[in-house]
Amino acid sequence: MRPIIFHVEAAGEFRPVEFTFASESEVRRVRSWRKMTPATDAGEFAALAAKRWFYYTREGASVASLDELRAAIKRNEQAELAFLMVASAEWAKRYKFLALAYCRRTWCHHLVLDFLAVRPGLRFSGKPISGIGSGVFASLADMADSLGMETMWGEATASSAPFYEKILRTRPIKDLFIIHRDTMRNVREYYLADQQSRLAKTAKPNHIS
Amino acid sequence: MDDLLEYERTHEIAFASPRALLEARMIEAMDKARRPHRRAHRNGVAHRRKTVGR
Repeated sequence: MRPIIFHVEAAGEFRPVEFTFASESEVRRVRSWRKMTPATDAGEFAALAAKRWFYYTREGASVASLDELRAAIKRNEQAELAFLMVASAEWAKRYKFLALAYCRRTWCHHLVLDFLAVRPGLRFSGKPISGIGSGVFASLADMADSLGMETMWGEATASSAPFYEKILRTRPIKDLFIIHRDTMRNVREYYLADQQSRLAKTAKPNHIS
Repeated sequence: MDDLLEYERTHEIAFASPRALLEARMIEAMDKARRPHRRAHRNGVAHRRKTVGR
C-alpha cells in the first residue's frame, strides 16, 4: 500500500508527511511519548492509545495495514477493528512520529476517531511546523471515503470542539461530530485547494514576463 | 483555513473521546493490577533472604 501523503508548512516551505498504519513496533514507540513529552495531554493520550491498541491486538481486533483491514472485513463484514495511524517525515527524523490518530472501524462500516494527538513542540530549523492536525483529519476523511464508509464520527469535548468546528466549517459542534461522505469530500477538497493556493504563493516564479 | 492553522499554532492538538479515554484508563489499571510487583528488585536493592538459625 502506498502511504497517504499530506503537506505541512515548515520553515517557510511545504514538506511532505507520510501517514500510515502503525505496526506493533511503531505502537511501542508511540507509547514512549509519555516519557518524552511529560505532563502533556498528547503524551498521555499517546500512551493510552497504545495501551488500547495492545488490548485490542490481544483480542485479535486490531489491524496494522490497509490490506489487513480489508482482509478482516472480507472475513467478517461486521468486524469491529481498531488501528493506530501515525504521521512521520523523513526531513523531521528526530521526532520519529509527528502525530497519531487512533481509529475504529465499527460493525456497520463507520469510522470512529477516538484519539488525535500532535506531538507538542514540533520545530524544524527553529520554526514551528504547522498544519499537522488538519492534515491528519483531512487524510482520515479521505481514507474513510475511499473505503466506502458512509459516516465518520467522534466525541468532541470543550477543548476539541473548536478544532472540529474550524476544519468542518460548521458551528456549533457540541459533544459529537458526525460527517457523511459529502462532507468527507468537502473537507478533503477544501484542504487540497487551500494547500495548492499556499503552494502557489510560496513558489518562486520561474519566468518573469 | 488561516483560522484553523492559527488555532493549531496556538493550541495543543490532543483530543480524546471521553469514552475511549475511560476505556483506555481501565485497560491501564487492569494491566497494572495484573503485572507482578517487581519494584523491590530494581535500583540495586538487594534481595532479602531469610536467615537460617544454626
